[in-house]
Amino acid sequence: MKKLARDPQIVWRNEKRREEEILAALERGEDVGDRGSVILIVGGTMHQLNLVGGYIWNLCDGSRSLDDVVETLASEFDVHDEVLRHDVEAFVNDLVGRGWLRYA
Amino acid sequence: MRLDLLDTPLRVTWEFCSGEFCLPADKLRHVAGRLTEAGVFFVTLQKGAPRHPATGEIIAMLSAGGVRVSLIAQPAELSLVESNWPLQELFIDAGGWLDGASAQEELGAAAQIGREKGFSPAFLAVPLASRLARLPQLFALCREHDVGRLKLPNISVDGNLGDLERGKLPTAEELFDLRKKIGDAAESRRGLELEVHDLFLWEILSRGDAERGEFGGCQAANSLAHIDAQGDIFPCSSWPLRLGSLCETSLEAIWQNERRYRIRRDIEHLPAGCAGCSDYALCIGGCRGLAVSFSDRDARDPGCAGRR
Repeated sequence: MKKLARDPQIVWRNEKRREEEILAALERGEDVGDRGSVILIVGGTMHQLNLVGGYIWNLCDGSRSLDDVVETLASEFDVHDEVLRHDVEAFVNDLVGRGWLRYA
Repeated sequence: MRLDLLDTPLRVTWEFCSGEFCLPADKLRHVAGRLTEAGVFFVTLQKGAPRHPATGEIIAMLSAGGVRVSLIAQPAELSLVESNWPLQELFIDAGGWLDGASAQEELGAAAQIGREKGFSPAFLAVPLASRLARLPQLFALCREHDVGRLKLPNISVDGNLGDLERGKLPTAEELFDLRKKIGDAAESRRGLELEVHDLFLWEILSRGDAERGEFGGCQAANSLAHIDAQGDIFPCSSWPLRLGSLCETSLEAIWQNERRYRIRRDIEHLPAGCAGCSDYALCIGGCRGLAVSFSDRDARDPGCAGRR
């Protein structure tokens, strides 16, 4: 199965302190969907990925297929498998459509 | 898009020298290490960088650490730029030409030297008030010398503010005059990729383009930072408030200190001068560094003509 890889031209990094804050907010039951933990610059424009998006982005290092990514996340999140697969697939398809990720 | 508060800045400008003083090579290495540790994306080396003997080493060090490095050189410094420096972008300072202090041929020759060294040089000019009237001529000059990109960065402010410094900033009236002089902005900038930091100048020069992709309010002390020739770090080059020394403290620690957060709170504060303005949602107060440096946190950006 094809592996998912990030566009090497995209400059990005994990915001470690922000991620800690988001995890703490999550523990408190707050909505963290709009809070970014990964920052990237594409074509001169800055973007943020939220916590789950950031996890997926980090996993797409060219060594994992979509199934591998779903499997890895399933071990970390208490979400129904089908729901998780649907959400991950939608996110990955969006980024593949933007050219930020590709199947290699 | 409004950015959350970042762990460390993404874009840093870095002066190597101030007058005759240049930061020694060991200190430069130390600061470069701080920048790579902090995961800074882009560093622009300026003011004396091309003539510093350690510049090649510092560029290589930053580049190996994943930082995209750009360099600003004076026309006469192009001969010092090495063709093997891994630069993302090479800028040639056209400010001297706009001031009438250097000849057109000098700029053209510098661009040619840059190309012969394997770069695609861009021109750069700080848009001081005295330079605005010649901007259309600079656009034409870029085309004449096959330079496809021009950057107009923000105006640096040092700590010694005074009438002279204030007089360097374009006023709303001077920007209005430029708007009239430019006329058809799309035709004036034809064939040229423009990068304009100042929001009001961008508004004039970009007429016809609707998007300003990255602007989400003043990014001083968030995604932006400036390092002076002592290794001290500032919110940006337009905001002369020292946050700390990279010779002594890590960038991560400085970005967590109270001074930095106070600046961000000042930026989030709605300036009294902007209250009720229908365009506040677009400009978000413009350049807060210039506003605070020349007045206070309730002042409008000095280039703003008033409430709309």
